[in-house]
Amino acid sequence: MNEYDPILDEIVSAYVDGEATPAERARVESDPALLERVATFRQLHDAIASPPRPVDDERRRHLVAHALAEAPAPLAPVRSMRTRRFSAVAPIAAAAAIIAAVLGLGTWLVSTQENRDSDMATSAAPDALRGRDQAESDAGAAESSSMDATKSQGAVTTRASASAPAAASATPFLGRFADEAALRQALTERSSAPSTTIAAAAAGAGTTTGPTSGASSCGVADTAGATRYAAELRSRPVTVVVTGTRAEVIDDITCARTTLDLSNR
Amino acid sequence: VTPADRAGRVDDAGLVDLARRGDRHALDQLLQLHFDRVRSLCRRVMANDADTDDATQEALIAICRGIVRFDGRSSFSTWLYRVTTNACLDELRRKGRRPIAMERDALPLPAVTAGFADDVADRLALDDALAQLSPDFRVAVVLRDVCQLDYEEIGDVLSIPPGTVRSRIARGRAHLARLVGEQPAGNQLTGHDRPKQSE
Repeated sequence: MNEYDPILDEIVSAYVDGEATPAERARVESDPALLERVATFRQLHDAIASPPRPVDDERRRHLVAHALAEAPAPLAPVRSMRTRRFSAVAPIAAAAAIIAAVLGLGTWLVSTQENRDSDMATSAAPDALRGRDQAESDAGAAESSSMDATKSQGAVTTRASASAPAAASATPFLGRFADEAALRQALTERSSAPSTTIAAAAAGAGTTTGPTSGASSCGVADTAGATRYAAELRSRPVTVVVTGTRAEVIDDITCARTTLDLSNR
Repeated sequence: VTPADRAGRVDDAGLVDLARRGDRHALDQLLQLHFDRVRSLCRRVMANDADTDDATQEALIAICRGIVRFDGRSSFSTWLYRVTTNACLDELRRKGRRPIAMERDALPLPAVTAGFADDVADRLALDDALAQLSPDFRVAVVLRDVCQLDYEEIGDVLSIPPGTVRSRIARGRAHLARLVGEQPAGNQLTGHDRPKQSE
Protein backbone atom coordinates (compact mmCIF):
# COMPACT_ATOMS: atom_id res chain seq x y z
CA MET A 1 0.00 0.00 0.00
CA ASN A 2 2.05 2.85 -1.26
CA GLU A 3 -0.76 5.29 -1.99
CA TYR A 4 -2.29 7.54 0.60
CA ASP A 5 -5.76 6.20 1.16
CA PRO A 6 -7.52 7.86 4.10
CA ILE A 7 -10.19 5.20 4.23
CA LEU A 8 -7.75 2.31 4.30
CA ASP A 9 -5.48 4.15 6.74
CA GLU A 10 -8.42 4.61 9.03
CA ILE A 11 -9.15 0.89 8.93
CA VAL A 12 -5.49 0.06 9.53
CA SER A 13 -5.22 2.58 12.38
CA ALA A 14 -8.36 1.17 14.02
CA TYR A 15 -6.92 -2.30 13.58
CA VAL A 16 -3.74 -1.26 15.40
CA ASP A 17 -5.81 0.19 18.21
CA GLY A 18 -8.12 -2.81 18.49
CA GLU A 19 -11.07 -0.66 17.43
CA ALA A 20 -11.73 -2.26 14.03
CA THR A 21 -14.90 -4.18 13.30
CA PRO A 22 -14.68 -7.89 12.55
CA ALA A 23 -15.15 -7.16 8.85
CA GLU A 24 -12.39 -4.58 8.93
CA ARG A 25 -10.08 -6.97 10.74
CA ALA A 26 -10.75 -9.64 8.17
CA ARG A 27 -10.00 -7.25 5.38
CA VAL A 28 -6.72 -6.09 6.90
CA GLU A 29 -5.55 -9.58 7.68
CA SER A 30 -6.24 -10.71 4.14
CA ASP A 31 -4.23 -7.91 2.52
CA PRO A 32 -0.41 -7.99 2.81
CA ALA A 33 -0.16 -4.33 1.87
CA LEU A 34 -2.45 -3.39 4.70
CA LEU A 35 -0.49 -5.58 7.09
CA GLU A 36 2.63 -3.72 6.04
CA ARG A 37 0.87 -0.49 6.89
CA VAL A 38 -0.12 -1.99 10.23
CA ALA A 39 3.56 -2.58 10.99
CA THR A 40 4.39 1.01 10.16
CA PHE A 41 1.68 2.39 12.42
CA ARG A 42 2.68 0.05 15.23
CA GLN A 43 6.21 1.31 15.14
CA LEU A 44 4.96 4.84 15.31
CA HIS A 45 2.69 3.89 18.16
CA ASP A 46 5.54 2.29 20.08
CA ALA A 47 7.82 5.25 19.50
CA ILE A 48 5.24 7.72 20.76
CA ALA A 49 4.24 5.54 23.70
CA SER A 50 7.80 5.16 24.89
CA PRO A 51 8.23 6.99 28.19
CA PRO A 52 10.01 10.30 28.12
CA ARG A 53 13.26 10.93 29.87
CA PRO A 54 12.37 10.79 33.59
CA VAL A 55 12.41 14.01 35.51
CA ASP A 56 14.64 14.18 38.54
CA ASP A 57 13.00 14.12 41.95
CA GLU A 58 14.00 17.65 42.80
CA ARG A 59 12.35 19.02 39.68
CA ARG A 60 9.29 16.90 40.30
CA ARG A 61 8.93 18.18 43.86
CA HIS A 62 9.36 21.73 42.68
CA LEU A 63 6.66 21.43 40.03
CA VAL A 64 4.18 19.87 42.43
CA ALA A 65 4.96 22.31 45.23
CA HIS A 66 4.58 25.27 42.91
CA ALA A 67 1.24 23.97 41.67
CA LEU A 68 0.00 23.49 45.23
CA ALA A 69 1.13 27.00 46.05
CA GLU A 70 -0.95 28.29 43.15
CA ALA A 71 -4.04 26.50 44.38
CA PRO A 72 -6.73 28.67 45.93
CA ALA A 73 -5.29 29.02 49.40
CA PRO A 74 -6.33 27.66 51.65
CA LEU A 75 -8.63 25.19 50.01
CA ALA A 76 -11.68 25.65 52.15
CA PRO A 77 -13.47 22.59 53.43
CA VAL A 78 -17.18 22.53 52.78
CA ARG A 79 -17.89 22.94 56.48
CA SER A 80 -15.65 25.97 56.69
CA MET A 81 -17.41 27.54 53.76
CA ARG A 82 -20.71 27.02 55.48
CA THR A 83 -19.29 28.51 58.63
CA ARG A 84 -18.07 31.54 56.72
CA ARG A 85 -21.42 31.90 55.07
CA PHE A 86 -23.13 31.64 58.44
CA SER A 87 -20.77 34.22 59.89
CA ALA A 88 -21.73 36.62 57.17
CA VAL A 89 -25.43 36.04 57.59
CA ALA A 90 -25.58 35.75 61.36
CA PRO A 91 -25.52 39.49 62.20
CA ILE A 92 -28.22 40.18 59.64
CA ALA A 93 -30.33 37.33 60.97
CA ALA A 94 -29.86 38.53 64.54
CA ALA A 95 -30.90 42.05 63.63
CA ALA A 96 -33.91 40.74 61.78
CA ALA A 97 -34.86 38.60 64.76
CA ILE A 98 -34.64 41.57 67.12
CA ILE A 99 -36.76 43.73 64.84
CA ALA A 100 -39.29 40.94 64.47
CA ALA A 101 -39.40 40.50 68.24
CA VAL A 102 -39.95 44.22 68.84
CA LEU A 103 -42.64 44.38 66.19
CA GLY A 104 -44.24 41.24 67.55
CA LEU A 105 -44.22 42.61 71.10
CA GLY A 106 -45.68 45.89 69.92
CA THR A 107 -48.36 44.15 67.95
CA TRP A 108 -49.19 41.96 70.93
CA LEU A 109 -49.45 44.93 73.26
CA VAL A 110 -51.69 46.84 70.87
CA SER A 111 -53.78 43.74 70.33
CA THR A 112 -54.04 43.17 74.07
CA GLN A 113 -55.14 46.75 74.65
CA GLU A 114 -57.70 46.51 71.89
CA ASN A 115 -59.03 43.27 73.32
CA ARG A 116 -59.24 44.89 76.73
CA ASP A 117 -61.20 47.80 75.34
CA SER A 118 -63.35 45.37 73.43
CA ASP A 119 -63.98 43.33 76.55
CA MET A 120 -64.89 46.44 78.47
CA ALA A 121 -67.27 47.52 75.77
CA THR A 122 -68.75 44.05 75.73
CA SER A 123 -69.14 44.04 79.49
CA ALA A 124 -70.89 47.36 79.35
CA ALA A 125 -73.22 46.31 76.59
CA PRO A 126 -75.79 44.56 78.78
CA ASP A 127 -76.09 47.66 80.86
CA ALA A 128 -76.58 49.71 77.78
CA LEU A 129 -79.13 47.27 76.48
CA ARG A 130 -80.94 47.46 79.72
CA GLY A 131 -80.92 51.19 79.35
CA ARG A 132 -82.37 50.94 75.87
CA ASP A 133 -85.22 48.90 77.28
CA GLN A 134 -86.28 52.00 79.16
CA ALA A 135 -85.34 54.79 76.89
CA GLU A 136 -83.15 54.52 73.87
CA SER A 137 -81.90 58.04 74.25
CA ASP A 138 -80.71 57.34 77.77
CA ALA A 139 -78.98 54.17 76.77
CA GLY A 140 -76.19 56.02 74.99
CA ALA A 141 -75.51 58.14 77.99
CA ALA A 142 -75.57 55.15 80.28
CA GLU A 143 -73.19 53.22 78.02
CA SER A 144 -70.66 56.00 77.77
CA SER A 145 -70.88 56.67 81.46
CA SER A 146 -70.41 53.06 82.33
CA MET A 147 -67.36 52.82 80.06
CA ASP A 148 -65.80 55.89 81.61
CA ALA A 149 -66.44 54.61 85.05
CA THR A 150 -65.07 51.20 84.18
CA LYS A 151 -61.85 52.66 82.83
CA SER A 152 -61.38 54.68 85.96
CA GLN A 153 -61.76 51.62 88.15
CA GLY A 154 -59.52 49.26 86.27
CA ALA A 155 -59.44 46.87 83.39
CA VAL A 156 -61.13 44.00 85.16
CA THR A 157 -64.01 45.97 86.49
CA THR A 158 -67.14 43.87 86.73
CA ARG A 159 -70.48 44.77 85.31
CA ALA A 160 -71.67 45.41 88.83
CA SER A 161 -69.13 48.07 89.58
CA ALA A 162 -69.65 49.58 86.18
CA SER A 163 -73.36 49.87 86.54
CA ALA A 164 -73.36 51.63 89.89
CA PRO A 165 -72.03 54.96 88.70
CA ALA A 166 -74.29 54.60 85.69
CA ALA A 167 -77.23 54.51 87.95
CA ALA A 168 -75.79 57.41 89.86
CA SER A 169 -75.94 59.55 86.79
CA ALA A 170 -79.74 59.45 87.06
CA THR A 171 -80.20 58.53 90.70
CA PRO A 172 -78.43 59.90 93.77
CA PHE A 173 -75.58 57.64 94.71
CA LEU A 174 -75.89 56.81 98.35
CA GLY A 175 -72.49 55.27 98.84
CA ARG A 176 -70.76 51.94 99.34
CA PHE A 177 -71.78 49.83 102.25
CA ALA A 178 -70.41 46.73 103.86
CA ASP A 179 -73.78 45.48 105.06
CA GLU A 180 -77.46 46.30 105.41
CA ALA A 181 -77.00 47.97 108.81
CA ALA A 182 -74.64 50.52 107.33
CA LEU A 183 -77.00 51.10 104.47
CA ARG A 184 -79.90 51.57 106.82
CA GLN A 185 -77.81 54.03 108.88
CA ALA A 186 -77.09 56.05 105.78
CA LEU A 187 -80.70 56.06 104.80
CA THR A 188 -81.60 57.21 108.30
CA GLU A 189 -79.08 60.06 108.18
CA ARG A 190 -80.33 61.03 104.75
CA SER A 191 -83.96 61.15 105.83
CA SER A 192 -83.88 64.87 106.30
CA ALA A 193 -81.80 65.56 103.19
CA PRO A 194 -83.45 66.27 99.87
CA SER A 195 -83.75 63.33 97.67
CA THR A 196 -84.67 62.61 94.16
CA THR A 197 -88.08 61.17 94.01
CA ILE A 198 -89.33 59.32 91.06
CA ALA A 199 -92.01 61.88 90.63
CA ALA A 200 -89.50 64.71 90.71
CA ALA A 201 -87.28 62.90 88.21
CA ALA A 202 -90.23 62.33 85.97
CA ALA A 203 -90.99 66.00 86.06
CA GLY A 204 -87.39 66.94 85.24
CA ALA A 205 -85.42 67.08 82.07
CA GLY A 206 -86.03 64.56 79.43
CA THR A 207 -82.74 62.88 79.95
CA THR A 208 -83.62 61.98 83.51
CA THR A 209 -87.21 60.98 83.11
CA GLY A 210 -86.56 57.52 84.33
CA PRO A 211 -84.08 55.56 86.31
CA THR A 212 -81.15 54.16 84.36
CA SER A 213 -79.88 51.89 87.03
CA GLY A 214 -79.64 48.19 86.48
CA ALA A 215 -82.66 47.72 88.68
CA SER A 216 -84.84 49.04 85.91
CA SER A 217 -84.75 45.63 84.35
CA CYS A 218 -85.74 44.08 87.67
CA GLY A 219 -89.18 45.49 87.47
CA VAL A 220 -88.81 48.30 90.03
CA ALA A 221 -92.16 49.94 90.29
CA ASP A 222 -92.24 53.65 89.71
CA THR A 223 -94.35 54.35 92.71
CA ALA A 224 -95.27 57.97 93.26
CA GLY A 225 -93.64 59.46 96.35
CA ALA A 226 -90.93 56.83 96.48
CA THR A 227 -87.31 57.87 96.68
CA ARG A 228 -84.75 56.04 94.63
CA TYR A 229 -81.08 55.75 95.44
CA ALA A 230 -78.19 53.99 93.87
CA ALA A 231 -75.68 52.34 96.12
CA GLU A 232 -73.14 49.56 96.47
CA LEU A 233 -73.85 46.89 99.01
CA ARG A 234 -71.03 44.40 99.57
CA SER A 235 -69.48 45.66 96.37
CA ARG A 236 -72.62 44.89 94.38
CA PRO A 237 -74.68 47.58 92.72
CA VAL A 238 -78.06 47.97 94.20
CA THR A 239 -80.99 50.22 93.80
CA VAL A 240 -82.69 51.40 96.95
CA VAL A 241 -86.25 52.52 96.77
CA VAL A 242 -87.50 54.19 99.90
CA THR A 243 -91.21 54.39 100.45
CA GLY A 244 -92.18 55.85 103.79
CA THR A 245 -90.45 53.84 106.48
CA ARG A 246 -89.70 51.01 104.15
CA ALA A 247 -86.67 50.62 101.89
CA GLU A 248 -86.42 48.01 99.26
CA VAL A 249 -82.87 47.05 98.24
CA ILE A 250 -82.73 45.51 94.80
CA ASP A 251 -79.61 43.78 93.53
CA ASP A 252 -79.10 45.25 90.08
CA ILE A 253 -77.63 42.03 88.73
CA THR A 254 -79.63 39.28 90.35
CA CYS A 255 -82.71 41.36 91.03
CA ALA A 256 -82.72 39.91 94.53
CA ARG A 257 -84.74 42.08 96.83
CA THR A 258 -84.27 42.86 100.48
CA THR A 259 -86.60 45.00 102.54
CA LEU A 260 -85.25 47.21 105.27
CA ASP A 261 -87.45 48.61 107.94
CA LEU A 262 -86.61 52.22 108.60
CA SER A 263 -89.27 52.77 111.18
CA ASN A 264 -86.77 52.75 114.02
CA ARG A 265 -84.83 55.62 112.65
CA VAL B 1 -6.83 0.31 30.85
CA THR B 2 -4.60 -1.82 33.00
CA PRO B 3 -5.64 -3.32 36.32
CA ALA B 4 -3.26 -0.88 37.94
CA ASP B 5 -5.12 1.95 36.27
CA ARG B 6 -8.42 0.59 37.53
CA ALA B 7 -7.01 0.28 41.03
CA GLY B 8 -5.69 3.79 40.70
CA ARG B 9 -9.12 5.05 39.73
CA VAL B 10 -10.61 3.48 42.82
CA ASP B 11 -7.98 5.16 44.95
CA ASP B 12 -8.55 8.37 43.02
CA ALA B 13 -12.15 8.55 44.15
CA GLY B 14 -11.25 8.94 47.81
CA LEU B 15 -8.40 11.33 47.17
CA VAL B 16 -10.43 13.40 44.74
CA ASP B 17 -13.25 13.69 47.24
CA LEU B 18 -10.87 14.82 49.94
CA ALA B 19 -9.06 17.20 47.61
CA ARG B 20 -12.35 18.76 46.55
CA ARG B 21 -13.15 19.35 50.21
CA GLY B 22 -9.91 21.19 50.72
CA ASP B 23 -7.55 18.46 51.86
CA ARG B 24 -4.22 19.73 50.62
CA HIS B 25 -2.46 16.50 51.49
CA ALA B 26 -4.89 14.54 49.33
CA LEU B 27 -4.33 16.97 46.50
CA ASP B 28 -0.59 16.56 46.89
CA GLN B 29 -1.02 12.80 46.71
CA LEU B 30 -3.15 13.09 43.59
CA LEU B 31 -0.52 15.19 41.88
CA GLN B 32 2.19 12.76 42.85
CA LEU B 33 0.15 9.80 41.63
CA HIS B 34 -0.59 11.33 38.25
CA PHE B 35 2.56 13.32 37.72
CA ASP B 36 4.09 10.87 35.24
CA ARG B 37 0.92 10.66 33.19
CA VAL B 38 0.61 14.40 33.01
CA ARG B 39 4.24 14.87 32.10
CA SER B 40 4.21 12.12 29.46
CA LEU B 41 1.22 13.67 27.77
CA CYS B 42 2.80 17.10 27.92
CA ARG B 43 6.08 15.76 26.57
CA ARG B 44 4.53 14.36 23.43
CA VAL B 45 2.16 17.22 22.80
CA MET B 46 4.81 19.87 23.35
CA ALA B 47 7.33 17.75 21.44
CA ASN B 48 10.36 19.11 23.23
CA ASP B 49 11.91 18.96 26.68
CA ALA B 50 12.18 22.70 27.11
CA ASP B 51 8.47 23.33 26.89
CA THR B 52 7.45 20.16 28.66
CA ASP B 53 8.12 21.45 32.15
CA ASP B 54 6.24 24.66 31.46
CA ALA B 55 3.22 22.77 30.15
CA THR B 56 3.41 20.28 33.02
CA GLN B 57 3.53 23.13 35.49
CA GLU B 58 0.51 24.82 33.92
CA ALA B 59 -1.39 21.54 33.86
CA LEU B 60 -0.68 20.85 37.53
CA ILE B 61 -1.77 24.36 38.46
CA ALA B 62 -4.94 23.97 36.43
CA ILE B 63 -5.67 20.73 38.25
CA CYS B 64 -5.17 22.37 41.64
CA ARG B 65 -7.38 25.29 40.75
CA GLY B 66 -10.05 23.22 39.03
CA ILE B 67 -10.38 20.27 41.37
CA VAL B 68 -13.17 21.97 43.31
CA ARG B 69 -15.18 22.19 40.11
CA PHE B 70 -14.72 18.53 39.20
CA ASP B 71 -18.27 17.22 39.40
CA GLY B 72 -17.62 13.52 38.84
CA ARG B 73 -19.69 13.31 35.67
CA SER B 74 -16.63 11.95 33.90
CA SER B 75 -13.90 9.84 35.44
CA PHE B 76 -11.14 11.71 37.16
CA SER B 77 -8.59 10.47 34.63
CA THR B 78 -10.72 11.79 31.77
CA TRP B 79 -10.95 15.14 33.50
CA LEU B 80 -7.23 15.08 34.24
CA TYR B 81 -6.35 14.43 30.60
CA ARG B 82 -8.75 17.11 29.46
CA VAL B 83 -7.22 19.68 31.77
CA THR B 84 -3.70 18.66 30.77
CA THR B 85 -4.52 18.71 27.08
CA ASN B 86 -6.00 22.17 27.35
CA ALA B 87 -2.97 23.36 29.30
CA CYS B 88 -0.71 22.06 26.56
CA LEU B 89 -2.75 23.68 23.79
CA ASP B 90 -2.74 26.97 25.71
CA GLU B 91 0.99 26.68 26.12
CA LEU B 92 1.42 25.98 22.41
CA ARG B 93 -0.64 29.02 21.54
CA ARG B 94 1.19 31.15 24.05
CA LYS B 95 4.52 30.18 22.60
CA GLY B 96 3.31 30.66 19.07
CA ARG B 97 4.42 27.27 18.02
CA ARG B 98 1.19 25.97 16.73
CA PRO B 99 1.84 24.32 13.40
CA ILE B 100 -0.28 25.00 10.35
CA ALA B 101 -3.11 22.53 10.05
CA MET B 102 -2.41 19.63 7.80
CA GLU B 103 -3.72 20.03 4.28
CA ARG B 104 -4.58 16.67 2.89
CA ASP B 105 -4.26 17.61 -0.73
CA ALA B 106 -0.86 19.15 -0.20
CA LEU B 107 0.59 16.05 1.38
CA PRO B 108 3.11 14.10 -0.60
CA LEU B 109 2.37 10.49 -1.17
CA PRO B 110 3.82 8.32 1.54
CA ALA B 111 6.99 6.59 0.57
CA VAL B 112 7.00 3.53 2.72
CA THR B 113 9.79 1.21 1.80
CA ALA B 114 11.01 -2.07 3.11
CA GLY B 115 13.53 -0.21 5.18
CA PHE B 116 10.96 1.93 6.92
CA ALA B 117 11.50 0.25 10.26
CA ASP B 118 15.17 1.02 10.11
CA ASP B 119 14.38 4.57 9.20
CA VAL B 120 12.15 4.82 12.25
CA ALA B 121 14.74 3.19 14.44
CA ASP B 122 17.71 5.09 13.16
CA ARG B 123 16.50 8.41 11.82
CA LEU B 124 13.18 9.18 13.37
CA ALA B 125 13.14 12.54 14.93
CA LEU B 126 9.84 11.91 16.53
CA ASP B 127 9.66 15.30 18.13
CA ASP B 128 10.16 17.09 14.88
CA ALA B 129 7.48 15.01 13.21
CA LEU B 130 5.04 15.56 16.05
CA ALA B 131 5.80 19.26 16.11
CA GLN B 132 4.73 19.50 12.48
CA LEU B 133 1.47 17.76 13.12
CA SER B 134 -1.66 19.80 13.69
CA PRO B 135 -2.47 19.88 17.41
CA ASP B 136 -5.89 18.37 16.70
CA PHE B 137 -4.30 15.28 15.19
CA ARG B 138 -1.33 15.31 17.53
CA VAL B 139 -3.43 15.32 20.67
CA ALA B 140 -5.63 12.50 19.40
CA VAL B 141 -2.62 10.35 18.57
CA VAL B 142 -0.88 11.10 21.87
CA LEU B 143 -3.98 10.41 23.96
CA ARG B 144 -4.24 7.05 22.23
CA ASP B 145 -0.58 6.03 22.21
CA VAL B 146 0.65 7.62 25.44
CA CYS B 147 -2.46 7.55 27.63
CA GLN B 148 -3.84 4.30 26.21
CA LEU B 149 -7.35 5.73 26.00
CA ASP B 150 -9.87 4.14 23.68
CA TYR B 151 -11.68 6.19 21.07
CA GLU B 152 -14.69 6.83 23.24
CA GLU B 153 -12.56 8.09 26.12
CA ILE B 154 -10.59 10.32 23.78
CA GLY B 155 -13.88 11.63 22.48
CA ASP B 156 -14.86 12.48 26.07
CA VAL B 157 -11.59 14.28 26.66
CA LEU B 158 -11.77 16.28 23.44
CA SER B 159 -15.56 16.54 23.32
CA ILE B 160 -15.76 15.03 19.85
CA PRO B 161 -17.48 11.88 18.54
CA PRO B 162 -15.53 8.61 18.51
CA GLY B 163 -15.74 8.55 14.71
CA THR B 164 -13.90 11.84 14.56
CA VAL B 165 -11.32 10.49 16.97
CA ARG B 166 -10.76 7.49 14.71
CA SER B 167 -10.35 9.72 11.69
CA ARG B 168 -7.97 12.12 13.39
CA ILE B 169 -5.75 9.36 14.70
CA ALA B 170 -5.56 7.69 11.31
CA ARG B 171 -4.73 10.92 9.52
CA GLY B 172 -2.24 11.89 12.16
CA ARG B 173 -0.45 8.59 11.90
CA ALA B 174 -0.43 8.71 8.15
CA HIS B 175 1.09 12.16 8.28
CA LEU B 176 3.65 11.12 10.87
CA ALA B 177 4.62 8.12 8.74
CA ARG B 178 5.18 10.43 5.81
CA LEU B 179 7.18 12.89 7.87
CA VAL B 180 9.31 10.18 9.38
CA GLY B 181 9.99 8.77 5.94
CA GLU B 182 11.30 12.19 4.95
CA GLN B 183 13.59 12.58 7.92
CA PRO B 184 17.21 13.14 6.91
CA ALA B 185 19.75 10.63 8.08
CA GLY B 186 21.55 11.39 11.32
CA ASN B 187 18.49 12.18 13.43
CA GLN B 188 19.04 9.37 15.83
CA LEU B 189 16.42 8.32 18.29
CA THR B 190 17.33 8.67 21.90
CA GLY B 191 17.26 5.60 24.07
CA HIS B 192 13.93 6.64 25.59
CA ASP B 193 12.34 7.45 22.29
CA ARG B 194 13.50 4.32 20.54
CA PRO B 195 10.46 2.15 19.79
CA LYS B 196 10.28 -1.33 21.19
CA GLN B 197 11.29 -4.07 18.82
CA SER B 198 9.13 -6.73 20.39
CA GLU B 199 6.22 -6.18 18.02
